[in-house]
Amino acid sequence: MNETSLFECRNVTIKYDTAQIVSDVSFSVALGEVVAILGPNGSGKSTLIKALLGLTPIASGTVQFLGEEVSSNLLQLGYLPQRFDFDKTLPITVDEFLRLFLHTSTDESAIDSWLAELGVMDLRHSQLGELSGGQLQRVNIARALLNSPQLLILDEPEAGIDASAERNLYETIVHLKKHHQMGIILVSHEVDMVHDFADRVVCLNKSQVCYGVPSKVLTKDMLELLYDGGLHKHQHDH
Amino acid sequence: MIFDLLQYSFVQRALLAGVVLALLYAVLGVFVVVRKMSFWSEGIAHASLAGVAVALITGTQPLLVALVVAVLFAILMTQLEKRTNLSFDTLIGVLFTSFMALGLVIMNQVSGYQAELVSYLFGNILTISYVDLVITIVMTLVVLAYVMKYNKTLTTLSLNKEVSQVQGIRSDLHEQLFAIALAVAVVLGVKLVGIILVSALLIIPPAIAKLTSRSFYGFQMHAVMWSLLIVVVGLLISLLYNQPSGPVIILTGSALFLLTVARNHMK
Repeated sequence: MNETSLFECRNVTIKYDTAQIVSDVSFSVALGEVVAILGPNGSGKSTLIKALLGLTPIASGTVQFLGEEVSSNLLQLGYLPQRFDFDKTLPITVDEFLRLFLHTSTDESAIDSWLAELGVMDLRHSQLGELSGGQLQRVNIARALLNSPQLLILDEPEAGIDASAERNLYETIVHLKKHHQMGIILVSHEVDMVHDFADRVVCLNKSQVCYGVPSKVLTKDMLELLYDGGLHKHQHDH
Repeated sequence: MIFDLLQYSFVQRALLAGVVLALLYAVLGVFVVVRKMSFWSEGIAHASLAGVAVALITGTQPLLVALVVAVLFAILMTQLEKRTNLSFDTLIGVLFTSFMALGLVIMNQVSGYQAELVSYLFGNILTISYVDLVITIVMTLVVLAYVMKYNKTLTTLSLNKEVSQVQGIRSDLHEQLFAIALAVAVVLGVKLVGIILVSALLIIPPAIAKLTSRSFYGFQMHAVMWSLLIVVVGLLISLLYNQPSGPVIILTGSALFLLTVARNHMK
């Protein structure tokens, strides 16, 4: 593992039965760095994330977090799924929800401080099922951050929120990177946001198409290749 | 009149069993409602008939054999769900009817089986024996100890499985243990309200509690309160008016549910 790497994914290939879903992906994440995984729908982004988290088996390759298997350091990892499906009629307050994820070694004041930092302190006693998409996303980010992880994995955090909340969300991600020196893996299909906010990008379309600094690697030709010549159509679809 | 009835030991046993089961059902029922497992509990109740039938034909303790069969059913269900592409609903539909059919065929070998069949289908808590009561209390304590210890884990798992797994929760283990706990609880309640009605006792109190609470803690506490109220009031009404205990308990719950819906609607 690279000495400065927090997280390292090396030559990872994922298969379902004999079908290759993702092949030969390699990248690393350092503390205070945002690495985006960019690709069209069905490119294997979410499958890759599940494999990195240990939720889907890897056919070949290695994944290391803090020099060990991911499962050995789950407390140091915060995860925001693409969709947080739950029964919205369930009577549960934001405070109760967050307490479920508070590790015994974490002080209770973490709930207040993260809610305040994410600008949703006033929601602490609200019903979880009554929150808007943007509010729920922020509460969920607070949930992922509760135990002050070193690595945050966000799977399409812009899903289900409006355009103004989206830029706000990306600014929050940069704030977390700068002020908390977290490593962040961000799955996205928003080329502009990745260009503006990520330090490095992994372009994925079943296999790794590019890897590097967004301003250098996200060329017009590369995006055409990544989206099979249909970037504008793809963005329009979203 | 109620105090006269309470002098009888069979009434005391029935009340004690009712209170213990009400507590157990409220605690488990909250998770059954959140995880939408009502058909699952229905399936276990019906499958337990195979156990009762085996016990009758072999002359063993029906409650114990039914417990073993229900636990086997729970393990079989969770393992088949993992190993096939079939949904839970489909698997329950296949398995519980098969177990029940097996139970009916075995029961047919026992002369005068209809009376036994009716007592298990509709329950009669007034016939609960000391042995049944002891088994009920011991098994309830074991299940409650598990749920109390892993209340936070089960709540997290009920909310979102994927996030729970990343949190380090052993989801497969706890799904299996919860299924076994539910199987045990359902079989214990067969004597109280019968195979046909037992799942209603798991669902109605949390359903009312969901309508009367604004927090998860409140949800759990209200479920316990409603469950105790339904079982005790239902049992006393059935005794006072000489009606079958199981159906009266369920009807008490149904009435409270309708009143709660009406009250919420008028707000």
